[in-house]
Amino acid sequence: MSAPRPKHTLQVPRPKRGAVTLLIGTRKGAFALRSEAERKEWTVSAPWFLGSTVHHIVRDPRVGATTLAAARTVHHGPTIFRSEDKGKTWDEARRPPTFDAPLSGTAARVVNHTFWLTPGHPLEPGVWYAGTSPQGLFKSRDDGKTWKPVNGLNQHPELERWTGDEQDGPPDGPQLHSILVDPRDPRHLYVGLSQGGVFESADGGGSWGPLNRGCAADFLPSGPRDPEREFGHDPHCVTLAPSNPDRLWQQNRCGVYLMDREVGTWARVGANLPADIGDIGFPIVVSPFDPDMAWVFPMDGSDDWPRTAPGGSPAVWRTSDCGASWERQDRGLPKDNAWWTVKRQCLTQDRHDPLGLYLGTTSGEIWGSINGGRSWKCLARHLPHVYSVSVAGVTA
Amino acid sequence: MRGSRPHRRVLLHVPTYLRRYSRGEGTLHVSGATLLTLDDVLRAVDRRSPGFRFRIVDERGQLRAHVRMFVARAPHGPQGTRDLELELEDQDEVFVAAAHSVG
Repeated sequence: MSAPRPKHTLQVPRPKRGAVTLLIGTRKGAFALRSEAERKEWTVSAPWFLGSTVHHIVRDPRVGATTLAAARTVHHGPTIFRSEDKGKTWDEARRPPTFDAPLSGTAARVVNHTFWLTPGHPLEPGVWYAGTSPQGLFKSRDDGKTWKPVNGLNQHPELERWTGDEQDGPPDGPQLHSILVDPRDPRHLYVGLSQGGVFESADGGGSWGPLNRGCAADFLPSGPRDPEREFGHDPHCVTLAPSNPDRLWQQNRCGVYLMDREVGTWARVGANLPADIGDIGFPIVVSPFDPDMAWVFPMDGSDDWPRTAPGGSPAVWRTSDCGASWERQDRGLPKDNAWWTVKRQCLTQDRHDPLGLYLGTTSGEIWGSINGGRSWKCLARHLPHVYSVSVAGVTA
Repeated sequence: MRGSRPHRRVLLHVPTYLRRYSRGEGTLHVSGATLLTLDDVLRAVDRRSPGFRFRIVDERGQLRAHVRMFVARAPHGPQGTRDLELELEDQDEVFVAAAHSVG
């Protein structure tokens, strides 16, 4: 199945050149991984926040370049650390994301951890968004120092109908993730609710609506017979095509999907992956230069969901034609007995040409390709379980 | 002075994983006339080191899971509590403890 092409002009960004810095969030702290200009030699830093789980660490690509790290010790609650000097020194958010007192008749919620960080629109310097578990959306206007709940979503009257309650959630807790800001309009937002689906706002978060038609939810009783189901889905990762913000790609629990916003329904383009591989996975990355090109990392979603590489043989899969066909890319990756996978925030790209791709594994390794996935090299080993990989910067 | 509150001095023992809020110090002397309850102690430290209380108390005003506080009052040893409104006496010692059973 091929998706319809967009009707508007693409805005292809200029490729970058130079040394790359990756920020790595792990179960036991955060690290930086830095290359030289050719991206061939890499050095890992000493850990930040050793012992704390860092779910996401992101550097602001806008002026100022603040780095935020969403961290949590097991016992002592969540917080957000801030650095204004690329990690030399850190302070802590004065008011981390916390839910407001509940509306009458609803149960009080406690932020277990901040799971996702997204810098705001370039026209709104200092604005950041955070997604939490339990599912909540928060906004900072002061570069991460203080956070306020976006109650247009957090206290939406339909929220429990869309997402169910705590009893319905997974053992790790449901998460709000994939916070997307339309590069043309700071008020146009998308979010993914791992227990609920994809939701969209056109007014900066004051009001929201579901955007899930066409997406399967075959774990629900009515799933296979209800392609028009509005909510209850389990998106794993949603992203906008950087060169075409009206094209969304989604790695869902139930497959790989693509939507052109003017069409408004999801098309399952992962169905064209080989049947013995399947299209279950966590991350998805879209080429910054071509909205038809994307990479996924399938995992074994059979039986009891081992969530490891299918057959112990990890591979990235690339499409360059909106999912009509897929190419296996595993040169340099282990051929067998590699029982790991790649979490949703652990696959990223550096906007070089040829494109650099980087993935972090549940076994504590960072792998990189500097040729668009054609071949892979292990850049770092013996890290804790990797939760996020992001590109902090490219230095000419 | 009519209506004056007694000045209380409390010794707070800071666990190692929270000493980034106490400049590395293992104990903090906390004092004041408004130091009536356990939560008052946490709030007093939080004023000096923002974020300290939120690591122990969630937004519902409850102790976080896996955390307990202890109060030692002579001649007795530490008694565990989760009651943040527990009233303190002058010279009490307060401990924060967390269950370290996970890898």
